[in-house]
Amino acid sequence: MSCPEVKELLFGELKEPERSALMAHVSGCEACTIEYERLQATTAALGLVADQEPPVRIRFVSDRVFEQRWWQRVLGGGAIWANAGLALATCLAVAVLIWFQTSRTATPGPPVLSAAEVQKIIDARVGQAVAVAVAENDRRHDSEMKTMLASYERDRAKQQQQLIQQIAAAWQLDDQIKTRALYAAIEKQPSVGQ
Amino acid sequence: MIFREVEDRDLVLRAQKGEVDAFNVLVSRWERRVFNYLLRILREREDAQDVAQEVFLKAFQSLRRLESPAKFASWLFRIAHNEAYSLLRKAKPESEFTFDPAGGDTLRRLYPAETALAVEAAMARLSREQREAVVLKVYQGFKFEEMAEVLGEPVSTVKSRLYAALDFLKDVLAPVEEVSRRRGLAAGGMKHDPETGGTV
Repeated sequence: MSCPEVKELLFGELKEPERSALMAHVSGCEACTIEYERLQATTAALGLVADQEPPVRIRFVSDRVFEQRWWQRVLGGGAIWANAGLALATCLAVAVLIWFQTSRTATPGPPVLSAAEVQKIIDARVGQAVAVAVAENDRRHDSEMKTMLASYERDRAKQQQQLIQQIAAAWQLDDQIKTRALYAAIEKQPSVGQ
Repeated sequence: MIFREVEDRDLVLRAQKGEVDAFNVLVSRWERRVFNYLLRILREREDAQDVAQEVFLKAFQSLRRLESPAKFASWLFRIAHNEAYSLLRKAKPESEFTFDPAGGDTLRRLYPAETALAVEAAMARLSREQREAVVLKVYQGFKFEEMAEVLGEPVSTVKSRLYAALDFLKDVLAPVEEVSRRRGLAAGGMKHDPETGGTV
């Protein structure tokens, strides 16, 4: 029967002089030494399962997934009430402006635009349309790429797993044959004292 | 480890001031560890990947609320723990932990690749809480105090879970008769020295 404190030695968090005292005890106690060796063998076995690489890297903050929506930007930063007050004041100002415009008796005629101004409006609308199209294309491309990568990773993981199982099965069979032969050889040998 | 801690703290401070690049460095530095922690808890690669992304998103959104930048690691894993358990609660509950010492026979003559498979099988037989304690301690190298912060439990509870898990794992992975046999094969009368890992 080993002491329950043996596990405390495993992870190097025991302070002196408790550590030295326990170490001295374990060194001189058969049951505790076996327990300590079993625990070390256990953690060593656990260490054989290595970390894996993430299939896809985590998206960075600069990626779109981290972009805040407009209401998050308005509410964020801890100044919720200040921002809410600002929004309310803006709404009031807009309401007053609309009321002022609609209450005018004289209705102004349609504005006369110069050729340069017309061109500017056209350029702006074209630019906006292009930006929307590019964004849509990027989004579709990202989605297709993600689907393709996920499918590839799934297939690869499946193949690896099958391969490991095949290797493990082959090794186990081979090892059993060797072990049986070894045991048979040992049994044939005369034991000490005979 | 100390230098690494200082660097992380510095990056956290810079990210809290709005430096996006600083947070990006933290992401690239911690994504593998967080992914593997989640993979060992959730046991599904796709779930681990999705939850890892969510963890870093939440970390970014709440980074300003992290009062002690030196505790970034345990804070990040606390988020990961919460997200993982949130997903697990939606999933089917795990079967009860069962103890089967007979499983110890399986590891006696195994090669490393087989041992890794046996380890995975043994880990799968632990309860969620015990498995997480092993992952945080053995695979992630957290101190007991940090584990308590991640799990939101007292150190005594954390130790209790870890040690119960180790008791089960050692019966499967390092059965007593196997260790005794190997000791018997070693030079007669020699004793193991835990400090050096050798015999005296």
